[in-house]
Amino acid sequence: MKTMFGSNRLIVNGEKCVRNAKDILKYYERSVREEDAPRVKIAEELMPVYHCINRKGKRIDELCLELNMPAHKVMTALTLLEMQGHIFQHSGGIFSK
Amino acid sequence: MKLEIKCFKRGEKDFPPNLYELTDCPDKLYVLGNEKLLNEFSIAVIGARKCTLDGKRIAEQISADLAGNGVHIVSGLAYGIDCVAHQASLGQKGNAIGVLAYGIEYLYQNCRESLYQDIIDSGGVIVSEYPPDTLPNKGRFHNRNRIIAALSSGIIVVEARDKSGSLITVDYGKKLEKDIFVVPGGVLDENYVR
Repeated sequence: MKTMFGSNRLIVNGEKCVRNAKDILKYYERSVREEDAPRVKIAEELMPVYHCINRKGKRIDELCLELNMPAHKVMTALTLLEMQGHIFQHSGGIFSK
Repeated sequence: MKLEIKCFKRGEKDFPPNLYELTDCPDKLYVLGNEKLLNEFSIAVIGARKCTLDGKRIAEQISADLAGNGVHIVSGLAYGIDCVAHQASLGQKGNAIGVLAYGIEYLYQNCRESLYQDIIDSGGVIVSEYPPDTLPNKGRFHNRNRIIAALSSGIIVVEARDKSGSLITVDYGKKLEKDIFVVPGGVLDENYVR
Protein backbone atom coordinates (compact mmCIF):
# COMPACT_ATOMS: atom_id res chain seq x y z
CA MET A 1 0.00 0.00 0.00
CA LYS A 2 1.58 3.22 -1.15
CA THR A 3 -0.10 5.17 1.63
CA MET A 4 2.09 3.30 4.11
CA PHE A 5 5.46 4.17 2.55
CA GLY A 6 5.86 7.58 4.11
CA SER A 7 4.52 6.77 7.55
CA ASN A 8 6.49 3.56 7.93
CA ARG A 9 9.64 5.33 6.84
CA LEU A 10 9.11 7.87 9.64
CA ILE A 11 9.07 5.01 12.16
CA VAL A 12 12.19 3.47 10.64
CA ASN A 13 13.82 6.91 11.00
CA GLY A 14 13.04 6.98 14.69
CA GLU A 15 9.72 8.77 15.14
CA LYS A 16 7.39 7.60 17.89
CA CYS A 17 5.23 4.65 16.95
CA VAL A 18 1.72 4.76 18.44
CA ARG A 19 -1.23 2.39 18.27
CA ASN A 20 -3.98 4.41 19.88
CA ALA A 21 -4.89 7.61 21.73
CA LYS A 22 -3.77 6.16 25.06
CA ASP A 23 -0.18 5.95 23.83
CA ILE A 24 -0.30 9.66 23.05
CA LEU A 25 -2.08 10.73 26.23
CA LYS A 26 0.38 8.73 28.33
CA TYR A 27 3.27 10.43 26.56
CA TYR A 28 1.91 13.79 27.63
CA GLU A 29 1.03 12.37 31.05
CA ARG A 30 -2.49 13.58 30.62
CA SER A 31 -5.20 11.75 32.53
CA VAL A 32 -6.57 8.89 30.52
CA ARG A 33 -10.14 7.85 31.05
CA GLU A 34 -10.55 4.27 32.11
CA GLU A 35 -12.71 3.67 29.09
CA ASP A 36 -12.35 5.19 25.69
CA ALA A 37 -14.74 7.93 24.73
CA PRO A 38 -18.28 6.59 24.86
CA ARG A 39 -20.04 5.97 21.61
CA VAL A 40 -23.74 6.12 20.91
CA LYS A 41 -25.16 2.74 21.82
CA ILE A 42 -26.49 0.82 18.86
CA ALA A 43 -30.27 0.41 19.00
CA GLU A 44 -31.56 -3.17 19.14
CA GLU A 45 -33.31 -2.93 15.77
CA LEU A 46 -30.08 -1.82 14.05
CA MET A 47 -28.03 -4.73 15.41
CA PRO A 48 -28.75 -7.26 12.62
CA VAL A 49 -27.57 -4.82 9.95
CA TYR A 50 -24.55 -3.77 12.04
CA HIS A 51 -23.46 -7.37 12.62
CA CYS A 52 -23.87 -8.19 8.94
CA ILE A 53 -21.36 -5.50 7.93
CA ASN A 54 -17.68 -6.37 8.05
CA ARG A 55 -14.42 -4.42 7.73
CA LYS A 56 -14.06 -5.25 4.06
CA GLY A 57 -17.40 -3.69 3.21
CA LYS A 58 -20.65 -4.85 1.64
CA ARG A 59 -23.09 -3.44 -0.88
CA ILE A 60 -26.71 -2.74 0.00
CA ASP A 61 -28.03 -5.51 -2.24
CA GLU A 62 -25.74 -8.01 -0.52
CA LEU A 63 -27.03 -6.90 2.87
CA CYS A 64 -30.66 -7.17 1.73
CA LEU A 65 -30.08 -10.72 0.52
CA GLU A 66 -28.18 -11.85 3.61
CA LEU A 67 -30.65 -10.28 6.02
CA ASN A 68 -33.74 -11.04 3.94
CA MET A 69 -34.87 -7.48 4.58
CA PRO A 70 -36.45 -4.94 2.21
CA ALA A 71 -34.06 -2.33 0.81
CA HIS A 72 -35.81 0.63 2.44
CA LYS A 73 -35.35 -0.87 5.92
CA VAL A 74 -31.70 -1.67 5.27
CA MET A 75 -31.14 1.86 3.94
CA THR A 76 -32.71 3.41 7.03
CA ALA A 77 -30.54 1.29 9.32
CA LEU A 78 -27.40 2.13 7.33
CA THR A 79 -28.14 5.85 7.48
CA LEU A 80 -28.62 5.75 11.26
CA LEU A 81 -25.50 3.63 11.81
CA GLU A 82 -23.43 5.97 9.66
CA MET A 83 -24.74 9.07 11.42
CA GLN A 84 -23.81 7.53 14.78
CA GLY A 85 -20.31 6.84 13.52
CA HIS A 86 -20.48 3.05 13.68
CA ILE A 87 -19.98 2.42 9.98
CA PHE A 88 -18.50 4.19 6.98
CA GLN A 89 -19.97 4.64 3.52
CA HIS A 90 -17.64 4.37 0.54
CA SER A 91 -18.00 5.01 -3.14
CA GLY A 92 -20.08 2.45 -5.02
CA GLY A 93 -22.61 2.17 -2.20
CA ILE A 94 -20.30 0.04 -0.05
CA PHE A 95 -20.60 0.12 3.73
CA SER A 96 -17.92 -1.06 6.15
CA LYS A 97 -17.10 -0.99 9.86
CA MET B 1 -25.33 34.34 5.94
CA LYS B 2 -22.60 36.85 6.72
CA LEU B 3 -19.59 35.17 8.30
CA GLU B 4 -17.99 36.91 11.27
CA ILE B 5 -14.40 36.50 10.20
CA LYS B 6 -11.86 38.12 12.49
CA CYS B 7 -8.42 39.18 11.34
CA PHE B 8 -5.56 39.00 13.84
CA LYS B 9 -2.41 40.81 12.81
CA ARG B 10 1.07 39.80 13.86
CA GLY B 11 1.96 41.71 17.01
CA GLU B 12 -1.63 42.05 18.20
CA LYS B 13 -2.51 40.41 21.48
CA ASP B 14 -4.96 37.94 19.93
CA PHE B 15 -2.47 36.63 17.40
CA PRO B 16 -1.70 32.98 18.34
CA PRO B 17 1.74 32.97 20.03
CA ASN B 18 2.63 29.53 18.59
CA LEU B 19 2.81 31.03 15.12
CA TYR B 20 5.76 33.23 16.15
CA GLU B 21 7.86 30.04 16.21
CA LEU B 22 7.67 30.00 12.42
CA THR B 23 10.53 31.66 10.59
CA ASP B 24 7.96 32.76 8.02
CA CYS B 25 5.22 33.69 10.46
CA PRO B 26 2.13 34.95 8.61
CA ASP B 27 1.35 38.65 8.86
CA LYS B 28 -2.33 38.00 9.39
CA LEU B 29 -4.53 35.16 10.50
CA TYR B 30 -8.19 35.11 9.49
CA VAL B 31 -10.28 33.37 12.12
CA LEU B 32 -13.86 32.13 12.17
CA GLY B 33 -15.14 30.69 15.43
CA ASN B 34 -13.69 30.27 18.89
CA GLU B 35 -10.18 31.76 18.70
CA LYS B 36 -9.40 30.77 22.31
CA LEU B 37 -8.79 27.21 21.13
CA LEU B 38 -5.71 28.38 19.24
CA ASN B 39 -3.87 28.90 22.53
CA GLU B 40 -4.87 25.57 24.09
CA PHE B 41 -3.42 22.05 23.95
CA SER B 42 -4.10 20.46 20.61
CA ILE B 43 -2.83 17.63 18.45
CA ALA B 44 -2.80 17.48 14.67
CA VAL B 45 -4.12 14.35 12.96
CA ILE B 46 -2.91 14.18 9.39
CA GLY B 47 -2.68 11.63 6.62
CA ALA B 48 -3.50 10.64 3.10
CA ARG B 49 -6.50 11.91 1.17
CA LYS B 50 -6.79 8.57 -0.60
CA CYS B 51 -6.45 6.50 2.53
CA THR B 52 -7.35 2.90 3.26
CA LEU B 53 -10.40 1.79 5.21
CA ASP B 54 -8.12 0.77 8.06
CA GLY B 55 -6.55 4.22 8.02
CA LYS B 56 -9.94 5.86 8.26
CA ARG B 57 -10.94 3.62 11.13
CA ILE B 58 -7.73 4.25 13.06
CA ALA B 59 -7.91 8.02 12.50
CA GLU B 60 -11.51 8.01 13.65
CA GLN B 61 -10.76 6.04 16.81
CA ILE B 62 -7.69 8.04 17.82
CA SER B 63 -9.34 11.40 17.13
CA ALA B 64 -12.51 10.44 18.98
CA ASP B 65 -10.58 9.20 22.00
CA LEU B 66 -8.34 12.27 22.10
CA ALA B 67 -11.33 14.58 21.73
CA GLY B 68 -13.13 12.63 24.45
CA ASN B 69 -10.16 13.38 26.70
CA GLY B 70 -10.34 17.10 26.01
CA VAL B 71 -7.69 17.38 23.33
CA HIS B 72 -8.47 19.69 20.41
CA ILE B 73 -7.93 18.12 17.00
CA VAL B 74 -6.12 20.16 14.35
CA SER B 75 -6.31 19.19 10.71
CA GLY B 76 -6.54 20.56 7.22
CA LEU B 77 -10.20 19.99 6.28
CA ALA B 78 -9.14 17.92 3.28
CA TYR B 79 -10.60 14.63 2.12
CA GLY B 80 -9.54 11.37 3.74
CA ILE B 81 -7.82 11.34 7.12
CA ASP B 82 -8.35 15.09 7.74
CA CYS B 83 -12.12 14.87 7.32
CA VAL B 84 -12.39 11.71 9.40
CA ALA B 85 -10.35 13.25 12.23
CA HIS B 86 -12.53 16.36 12.37
CA GLN B 87 -15.78 14.41 12.16
CA ALA B 88 -14.70 12.00 14.89
CA SER B 89 -13.76 14.82 17.25
CA LEU B 90 -17.12 16.50 16.65
CA GLY B 91 -18.83 13.19 17.33
CA GLN B 92 -17.34 13.27 20.82
CA LYS B 93 -18.36 16.90 21.30
CA GLY B 94 -14.71 17.81 21.04
CA ASN B 95 -13.30 20.95 19.52
CA ALA B 96 -11.83 20.97 16.05
CA ILE B 97 -9.36 23.43 14.60
CA GLY B 98 -9.47 23.52 10.81
CA VAL B 99 -6.62 25.13 8.92
CA LEU B 100 -7.45 26.15 5.36
CA ALA B 101 -5.20 26.52 2.36
CA TYR B 102 -7.58 29.09 0.88
CA GLY B 103 -9.88 31.87 2.04
CA ILE B 104 -12.54 31.08 4.62
CA GLU B 105 -15.36 32.19 2.33
CA TYR B 106 -14.17 29.97 -0.44
CA LEU B 107 -16.07 26.74 -0.13
CA TYR B 108 -15.04 24.57 -2.97
CA GLN B 109 -16.62 21.27 -2.03
CA ASN B 110 -20.06 20.68 -0.59
CA CYS B 111 -19.00 18.02 1.87
CA ARG B 112 -16.41 20.28 3.38
CA GLU B 113 -18.89 23.14 3.52
CA SER B 114 -21.05 21.00 5.77
CA LEU B 115 -18.10 19.99 7.94
CA TYR B 116 -16.96 23.61 8.09
CA GLN B 117 -20.33 24.65 9.49
CA ASP B 118 -20.41 21.72 11.93
CA ILE B 119 -17.02 22.77 13.32
CA ILE B 120 -18.19 26.34 13.90
CA ASP B 121 -21.55 25.27 15.34
CA SER B 122 -19.85 22.97 17.84
CA GLY B 123 -17.52 25.65 19.19
CA GLY B 124 -14.51 24.95 16.98
CA VAL B 125 -12.52 27.33 14.87
CA ILE B 126 -11.42 27.66 11.24
CA VAL B 127 -8.31 29.64 10.39
CA SER B 128 -6.50 30.72 7.27
CA GLU B 129 -3.60 33.03 6.58
CA TYR B 130 -5.27 34.01 3.30
CA PRO B 131 -7.93 36.69 2.77
CA PRO B 132 -11.47 35.25 2.77
CA ASP B 133 -11.95 35.09 -1.01
CA THR B 134 -8.57 33.51 -1.83
CA LEU B 135 -8.67 30.49 -4.15
CA PRO B 136 -6.66 27.35 -3.39
CA ASN B 137 -3.49 26.43 -5.21
CA LYS B 138 -0.70 23.93 -4.64
CA GLY B 139 1.66 26.35 -2.95
CA ARG B 140 -0.99 27.42 -0.48
CA PHE B 141 -1.56 23.82 0.61
CA HIS B 142 2.18 23.56 1.24
CA ASN B 143 2.11 26.76 3.31
CA ARG B 144 -0.99 25.65 5.17
CA ASN B 145 0.95 22.67 6.54
CA ARG B 146 3.33 24.89 8.50
CA ILE B 147 0.36 26.52 10.27
CA ILE B 148 -0.96 23.07 11.23
CA ALA B 149 2.46 22.16 12.65
CA ALA B 150 2.82 25.43 14.55
CA LEU B 151 -0.62 25.34 16.16
CA SER B 152 -0.21 21.76 17.46
CA SER B 153 1.75 20.34 20.37
CA GLY B 154 2.14 17.06 18.51
CA ILE B 155 1.44 15.61 15.09
CA ILE B 156 -0.06 12.17 14.47
CA VAL B 157 0.52 10.68 11.04
CA VAL B 158 -1.97 7.95 10.24
CA GLU B 159 -1.08 7.19 6.64
CA ALA B 160 1.30 9.08 4.42
CA ARG B 161 2.66 8.46 0.98
CA ASP B 162 6.25 9.21 0.09
CA LYS B 163 6.72 12.90 -0.69
CA SER B 164 3.20 13.69 0.49
CA GLY B 165 1.86 16.84 2.12
CA SER B 166 1.72 14.97 5.41
CA LEU B 167 5.48 14.54 5.37
CA ILE B 168 5.86 18.26 4.67
CA THR B 169 3.85 18.91 7.82
CA VAL B 170 6.13 16.49 9.69
CA ASP B 171 9.20 18.35 8.43
CA TYR B 172 7.77 21.61 9.70
CA GLY B 173 6.90 19.89 12.99
CA LYS B 174 10.45 18.63 13.41
CA LYS B 175 11.87 22.10 12.77
CA LEU B 176 9.54 23.43 15.45
CA GLU B 177 10.52 20.56 17.80
CA LYS B 178 6.99 19.20 17.95
CA ASP B 179 6.32 15.60 18.91
CA ILE B 180 5.77 13.34 15.93
CA PHE B 181 3.66 10.22 16.37
CA VAL B 182 3.18 7.66 13.64
CA VAL B 183 0.64 4.88 13.29
CA PRO B 184 2.41 1.95 11.60
CA GLY B 185 1.19 0.40 8.41
CA GLY B 186 0.85 -3.32 7.82
CA VAL B 187 4.17 -5.04 8.53
CA LEU B 188 3.20 -8.03 6.42
CA ASP B 189 2.79 -5.85 3.39
CA GLU B 190 5.68 -6.17 0.94
CA ASN B 191 5.65 -2.39 0.72
CA TYR B 192 6.20 -1.95 4.46
CA VAL B 193 9.02 0.40 3.65
CA ARG B 194 10.54 1.17 0.31
